[in-house]
Amino acid sequence: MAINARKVRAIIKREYVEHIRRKAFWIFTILLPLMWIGFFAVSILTQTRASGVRRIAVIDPTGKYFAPLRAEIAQSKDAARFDLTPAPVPPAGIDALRAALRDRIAAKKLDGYLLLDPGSVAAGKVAYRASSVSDFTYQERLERHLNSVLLRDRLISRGIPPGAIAELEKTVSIDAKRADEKESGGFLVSMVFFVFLYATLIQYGMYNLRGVIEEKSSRIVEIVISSVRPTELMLGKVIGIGLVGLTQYAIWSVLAMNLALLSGSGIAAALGFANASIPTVPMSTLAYFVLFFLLGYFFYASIYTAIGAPFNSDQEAQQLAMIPTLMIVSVWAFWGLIVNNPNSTLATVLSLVPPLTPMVMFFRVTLAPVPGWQVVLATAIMLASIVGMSWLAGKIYRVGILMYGKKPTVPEILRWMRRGESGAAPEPAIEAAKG
Amino acid sequence: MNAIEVDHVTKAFGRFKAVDDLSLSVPSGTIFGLLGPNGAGKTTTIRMIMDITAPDSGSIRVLGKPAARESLARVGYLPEERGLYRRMRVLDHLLFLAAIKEVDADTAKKRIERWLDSMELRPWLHKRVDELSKGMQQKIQFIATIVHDPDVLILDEPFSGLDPINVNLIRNFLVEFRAGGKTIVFSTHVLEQAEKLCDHICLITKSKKVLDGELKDLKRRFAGNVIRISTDASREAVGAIPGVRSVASANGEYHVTLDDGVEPRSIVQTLFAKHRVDAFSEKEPELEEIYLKAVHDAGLEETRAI
Repeated sequence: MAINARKVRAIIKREYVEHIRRKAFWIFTILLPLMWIGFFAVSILTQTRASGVRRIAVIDPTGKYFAPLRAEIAQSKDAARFDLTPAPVPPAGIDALRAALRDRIAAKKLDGYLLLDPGSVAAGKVAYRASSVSDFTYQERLERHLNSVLLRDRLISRGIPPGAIAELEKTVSIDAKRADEKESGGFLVSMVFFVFLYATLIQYGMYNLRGVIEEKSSRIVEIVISSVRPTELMLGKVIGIGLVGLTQYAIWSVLAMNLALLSGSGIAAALGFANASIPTVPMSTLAYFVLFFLLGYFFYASIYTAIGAPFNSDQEAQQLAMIPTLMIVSVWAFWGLIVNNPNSTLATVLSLVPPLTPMVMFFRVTLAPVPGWQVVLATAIMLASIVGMSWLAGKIYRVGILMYGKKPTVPEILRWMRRGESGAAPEPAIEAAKG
Repeated sequence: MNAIEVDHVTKAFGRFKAVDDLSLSVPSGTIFGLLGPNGAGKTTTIRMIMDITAPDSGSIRVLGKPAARESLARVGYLPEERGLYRRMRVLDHLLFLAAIKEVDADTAKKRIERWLDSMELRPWLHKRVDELSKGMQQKIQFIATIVHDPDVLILDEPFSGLDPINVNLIRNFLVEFRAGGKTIVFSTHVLEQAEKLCDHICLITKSKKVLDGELKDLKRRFAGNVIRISTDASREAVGAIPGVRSVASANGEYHVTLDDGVEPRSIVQTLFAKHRVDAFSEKEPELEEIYLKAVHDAGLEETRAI
């Protein structure tokens, strides 16, 4: 069957122009990056807020710990985060002191107090009472400093010379990179692109479904079909909407590059997070993204198109539209597994199973070095699946788009696939058959 | 030469035969009416001509080609259920429909503007379809059907849902098209419309053809035994004449039904002997009468009215 390229071009153009013209396209295109910027701004802001000073009173009946703890914090990166004051135990006893400190916390003159009585220290659990107990980073840091002080105290009491202690305390940090030493945007970049891929496969799939139903419910389809073959209409529609997706990504990429360079680092620097580097996106990630978006898009778009064709309204199609959507969503079930070991046997197999290939293979290849043949194989499998799926979808589509009247059942749709003919008359004939 | 030939075509949907052994020929340059009640098989026939549905058996030729697909660029089609892309602008929409008929944009634009002018829709050129009234959308749909200047127009119930002004407008356009040598096939279940427009008709009912031919011939063939007489004689006096089966009064004249084989002239001569006769003519049968008689003769009477 020959495809008339000129007609298909006209359909692509219509789909593309009509989608780009919609306000919804631009709202979504502009809103999503704004949401991301907002998300980063909020997380940076909360970090800043969290970097306020905590005023903490230290009850230290033995007098052994307060001075070393203050000295330890003063020479660390956390010097600005804690303001420690000693709280001497009055004659009335510790309980009276705690009551007084509680009142001061309530009056917001103090953020918390730490009780370092020998019994608690020996038992390995010391009381920290504060206005908020949810700022875990602070508690963690305070705990770490306290433990260094305690460890040093114990080492000294065992007779270790202070010079040796400094030697013993030296630590190392891990410098994480991919095994192939290739530039990677890190986990965050992989994750962001993975979420985008996942969300847009559903979004642009649904555009196809709605487009098909719109043509049916507005009854334009029979006029169009008198000029083009159903296959040409389907092809033009899928390509046109796919191009809309690529356009959206192009806009986002340009926005992201500029915004990240200008405001991203600007905001971070202004807030004193010069070392909070904005992750860079490697070209290979972008290339893989476009490749796997297209492979996934054409596969799922044919499914969504076929599902839209037999129905006359979004509501009717909703139930069956869950099938491809769930296929895409199911990738989350394996998400943890892929992150933990992108090259495990199961992850490898999943990346070669058609419904999940585009997402899993993209995620793997950006997280870890994946053998080249696997990427080629995944691409080949997807291309073959696209051919098969669009062939099946085309059969349903050709019959479905001209079917009006009652909502067809799944067995009926399966019959169309086999025979490529609806076996049902146009509406008036159905009426006559009944009458 | 025939623009469309349908040759022994049958189409069944499951056990239901929608079209049963239908043959018809549409001569070029004529208006051809496909008539019959709802559910007779008109839409299925038209869809087969348009190659939207395939016949189970038989063959169809459009403009000499085996399938309409191959001459789609020369055929304009208005389906019974019609619509437009609601969000598109009028000009873009018509340009799109022209583009998929492979009309280049410049030619299409000139034609569209001319048509919109003639239908007084020019101010709506850049408006969205859903901003137009129903009547305007119907005009746009009609322009969409003819935007590629087709040689053959196939219209399924073109007048249904149209207001009287648009019915008149479309009817005048169809007559104009015929004058331009184009062929028009349209289906309708309203016989008065067909009677005013058609050169040829094909009557189908219950999936079968009952009658087809040139409307003039059919009227002569079914003219039969009714004459119209304007006279001063009483109804009883007319009824008493030998050879008269029955007399009915209508609009100050009599419709006189004769016995089979009786010459109308002999009745008039008898009447002349005693009475004044002002006017006399053989009454042309209405299409509806032809239809009912043909259906009766074929033994395919409808159980419900058309």
